[in-house]
Amino acid sequence: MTAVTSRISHLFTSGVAVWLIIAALAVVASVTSDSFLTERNVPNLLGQTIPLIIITCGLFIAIIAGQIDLSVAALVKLTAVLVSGIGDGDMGKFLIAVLLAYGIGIAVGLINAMLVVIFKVPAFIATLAMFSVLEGLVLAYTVKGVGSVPTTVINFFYDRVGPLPYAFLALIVMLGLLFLWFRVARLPMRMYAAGGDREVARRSGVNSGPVITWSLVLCSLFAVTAGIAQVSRAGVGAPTTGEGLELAAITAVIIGGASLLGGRGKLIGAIGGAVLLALIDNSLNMIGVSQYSQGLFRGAIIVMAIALFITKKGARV
Amino acid sequence: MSSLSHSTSADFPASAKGRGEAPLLRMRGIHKSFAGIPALIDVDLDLHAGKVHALLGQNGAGKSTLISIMSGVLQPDSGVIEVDGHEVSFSSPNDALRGGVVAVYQELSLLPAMTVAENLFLGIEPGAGPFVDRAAMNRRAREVLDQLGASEIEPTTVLGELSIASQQLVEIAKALTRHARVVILDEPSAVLGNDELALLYAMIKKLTDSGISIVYITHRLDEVMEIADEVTVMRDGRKVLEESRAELSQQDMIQAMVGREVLLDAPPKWQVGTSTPLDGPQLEVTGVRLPGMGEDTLDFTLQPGEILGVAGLTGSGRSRVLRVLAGLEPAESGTITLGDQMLQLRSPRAAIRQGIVLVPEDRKRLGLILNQSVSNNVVLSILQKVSNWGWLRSSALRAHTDSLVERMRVKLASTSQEVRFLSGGNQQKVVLARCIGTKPKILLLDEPLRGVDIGAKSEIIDIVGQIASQGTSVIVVSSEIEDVLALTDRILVLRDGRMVRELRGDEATEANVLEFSSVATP
Repeated sequence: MTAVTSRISHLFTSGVAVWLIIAALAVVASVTSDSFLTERNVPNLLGQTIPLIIITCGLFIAIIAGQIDLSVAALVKLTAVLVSGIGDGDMGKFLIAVLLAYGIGIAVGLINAMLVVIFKVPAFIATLAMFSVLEGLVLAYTVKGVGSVPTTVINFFYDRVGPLPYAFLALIVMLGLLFLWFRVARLPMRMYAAGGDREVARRSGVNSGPVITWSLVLCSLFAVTAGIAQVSRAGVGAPTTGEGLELAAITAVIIGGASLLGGRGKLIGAIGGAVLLALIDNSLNMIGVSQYSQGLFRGAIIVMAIALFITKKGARV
Repeated sequence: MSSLSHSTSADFPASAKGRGEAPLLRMRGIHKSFAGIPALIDVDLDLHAGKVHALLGQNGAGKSTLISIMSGVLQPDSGVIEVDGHEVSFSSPNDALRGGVVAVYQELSLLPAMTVAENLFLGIEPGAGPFVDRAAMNRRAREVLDQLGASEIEPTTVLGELSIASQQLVEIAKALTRHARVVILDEPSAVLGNDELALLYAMIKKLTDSGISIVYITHRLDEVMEIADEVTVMRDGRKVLEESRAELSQQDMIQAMVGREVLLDAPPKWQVGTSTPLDGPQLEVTGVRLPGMGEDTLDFTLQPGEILGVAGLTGSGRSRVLRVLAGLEPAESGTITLGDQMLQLRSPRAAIRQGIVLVPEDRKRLGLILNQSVSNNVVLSILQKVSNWGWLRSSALRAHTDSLVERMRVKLASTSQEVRFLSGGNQQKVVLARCIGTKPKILLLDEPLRGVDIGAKSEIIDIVGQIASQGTSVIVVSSEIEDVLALTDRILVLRDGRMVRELRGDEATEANVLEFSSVATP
């Protein structure tokens, strides 16, 4: 590998590349569209990114530990209908439903981990099955929009300081804590090790079982949090809430430079990936691309973005 | 101890480090079998503090099984391990680590995406509760690296950015962070150049100075002469020699490694020299520099119908020769001609078109499609010949498969049987059948007898002989000297990418091959 391609590839794996693309796209969008940098669009864009960023953080943790979690979007959905349905506009009941949702999240994470760690089911299959089960639970509970979220909670996502919604500020604090956790905690270091090479981790005295369990439980907890954010922005939970979020989050982690095989990647890159995806959708709306053909453009932009940073040896995706 | 000996222990007062001292680690009566086949039989081993103990033996002698048991990767069927006179039982690498035994394997047990310090302290990170004290971790990494004289390695560097040699140093440093008292080095020299080797020796000296006991596995006897204090030679799962290095010559060690005078019942050989030369083109390799092997060039010729063996240690370039001829790696320079045709070996496909076919070492992964039928595997390389306009002609396919399966004497219930249900030997015959089907001029065999049972071995030897007698030239590479001897007419012995000796006829003995491949020539 030449020095130049190696540096470019390093830009990608370090998660810097995706932020460069974000900057470029933001400049293009604000120059070409009058409605991009407006008081209406910016808070809206920031609000939209919240659930995707949260769920991306969860998947990033699972992927770093060498796992994958396909059940997250279904968990978002289940959280949304439960919180909205049980809460039904009442703050007290809403909080109880939130606690219930986190309880379910922990259970889902533990069951996923049990299948993976004890029964040696590949995470792809275990969490795919979990996805099915959770989807079934949602539809057993309701087939249409149900209940509502208390106005106070909804306002938290729309009231703002300058262009920044309160919820976005809360997200920034949460991300700050997450970065700190990655820097100072033992567990994330061991997640990189277990995801990089289980046998090496084992020979170094790291038992992968608990590490994988933690990563999947944390992933589920992030998914529940994303579900609460998603339903609070929407106001009502429905069986369509969060549809497709898992694929968006996996995409975000990968365009952020992490390896889908585990053990390699930076949180800042994954978050950038989520922001980029939200920005692409928003820009496509701005320039009036129809909802139906957005997928086509989104896919094309993602491939181009990654292709820019692929070395001759191929990207470590 | 003779005055000529250059031993690390010479720098220590003999009273403190002498043989009389109780061993640091002691193994007694170790037995281990795999599926009923004994790999270790009643092995004893004593390791002393501050000594380098060389462990020698040919492939399959039981060295790796022994160190796997020592380092907790495997558990013995019976026998006792003692550390400092206390009996221990290592049920995992972690256990062994706690007992002070760490193995440094050829394939590094490090994580390339993590920093040097993270690698060094993984699993034993300094810090309290759920937190890692990164400052302390980096500082202690610095100390350990300095202690080993590896001051140029930064603790915060991502490991994958270091050279292989530096990574090996980190691996050894990692052993130190685990408070290792016994460090097992599994053929470290196989991946190191000469300068790096000097660094490694210096590091070993520092380790032994601090009272650590080293188990050093190598095939290079000159290395043993240079750094070992004690030598154990294994053969066929038994310890056949344990002696102070100063008492031993290289000849003694070779003798112990070879042991038996007669090996296999010498199978009939297809001596080219004795019969009339066969018709066909002759392969000429001229001035070929193997990739990644330095400046030396290689020249040899191969007569039609001749079976040539290539022997040498890991890293000698023996498999590189095959890789170049099979079009997997380009040669750095030189020409390869077949008859009057100059060969362009840019890809495996190009090599196959020009009549060179490789039977790969890893047949399960690279040689066969395991979950497909025998006949599908056999015709895989010649689908054009048994099809019309993309449609398979089942009669041609069957005829072709049947004749090859019969020629190769594959034992099977039916040709529609999936290959994975066949024995190792029969799988190898299926690969041979597929390769022969392309009517190659040159057949390259990489480790052709590995994982093949005794009965099938002699059949394959026979089959290869027949193939050669019909005019196909064969090159055999194997780490098992016995196999090379059994299969070939003539043997090239490689060391460090150059040919050190050509052996034919009576010269081609196990002792000679071992000597020329493992003893440095001036």
